[in-house]
Amino acid sequence: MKRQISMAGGGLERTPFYGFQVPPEIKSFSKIKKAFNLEKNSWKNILNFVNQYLVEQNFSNDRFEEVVAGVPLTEEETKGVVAAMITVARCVFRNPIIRQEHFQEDLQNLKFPEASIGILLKMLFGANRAVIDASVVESRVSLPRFLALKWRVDVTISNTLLQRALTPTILCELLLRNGKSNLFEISIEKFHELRYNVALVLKDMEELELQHRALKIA
Amino acid sequence: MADESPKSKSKGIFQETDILISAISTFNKVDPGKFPLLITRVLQRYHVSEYKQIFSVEEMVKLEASFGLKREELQLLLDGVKFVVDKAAYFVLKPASLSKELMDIGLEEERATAFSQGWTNLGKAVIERLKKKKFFPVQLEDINWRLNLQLGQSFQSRQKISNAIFQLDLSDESKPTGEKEEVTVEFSREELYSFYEELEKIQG
Repeated sequence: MKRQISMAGGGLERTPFYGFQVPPEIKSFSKIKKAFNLEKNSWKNILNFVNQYLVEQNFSNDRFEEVVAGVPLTEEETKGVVAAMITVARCVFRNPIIRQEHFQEDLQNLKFPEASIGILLKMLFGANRAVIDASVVESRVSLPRFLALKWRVDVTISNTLLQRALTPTILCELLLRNGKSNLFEISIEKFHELRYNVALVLKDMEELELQHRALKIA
Repeated sequence: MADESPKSKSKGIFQETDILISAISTFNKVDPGKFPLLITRVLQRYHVSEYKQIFSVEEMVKLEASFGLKREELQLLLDGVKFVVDKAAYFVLKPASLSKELMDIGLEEERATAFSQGWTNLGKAVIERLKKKKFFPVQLEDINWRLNLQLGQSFQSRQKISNAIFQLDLSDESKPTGEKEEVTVEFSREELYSFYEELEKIQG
């Protein structure tokens, strides 16, 4: 498919939201004739499913079957439509500076049904977008994430070696999101070292975020 | 029963068991000139005595010759000195009290003075070291960290997410190989802040 050049806005050439080439999922989608006659309700069903998938990062087979049952398309065709919609969403995420009007134009140039365009706009540019973004950040590749720190300070009055020890010790249980936990003791010196380092990193983190807000990664 | 024996009349710190009596007489027998040095040596190496012998085999042979004692007598001598130090540390005895207690169970004055002298010089260090002894097998040994700025991930670009990765090295005495376990934790800014708040509570 040739790249569509938008003639509105003074005939300026710009790259569509999906990049230089139409993604294969969208190409296949435009071959599904029945999709272009779908009612608004069907589009709502399909795009709700897509939205849930993007937020939860999880493809639910049960819910997909419900969608298939509710639209006048075969399972294969529904899959094709869903795939295309997900691709559209992903292209938008990759391209944060795309403007709503341009996005709309591009979809129209691709001959997307009006019913779908309206819902897509709301989904990807409305308040809902923040929800999707948050969940994407949550599910990113990462090492075990911190969940909580349980602790206890003990003062040893006496032990086998000393009748009057009076030494404080800190017992910690570090809980991680992957379910693992570590139980260990921290001596007073190490505790101060830990606290100092954490404060240092926090300070650096704040500076970093401030700097980049100013720099604005173009 | 212990009360039957007339020897255990002492109400002091050192209970007069048979072994202790023997040790005392050995103390009293040996060369008084060499005694103080022996005590100093034991005090200096006290902290290794938990799992290892204070003196190596070669040193023991030299000591046998130097003190003119057989192996068993030398062992009794050393065990006796260590025992006295154990008690002195446990009760945090003042040097004067230590020598008095020892004389009460029959130690000659000159030897008792040797003990209190050594205790004056090195007793504090021994106690401080004992206070630092850890009872819990898993200890935090090392803290390392790295601060990152995530700029993108699959399906999302142009991000500016800061995250910190901490690596905590934990030693575990109960593990035979003595290898350290490395616990790696990632923190977002909010998570790190929660962590810091907990640490502040501990500090308080």
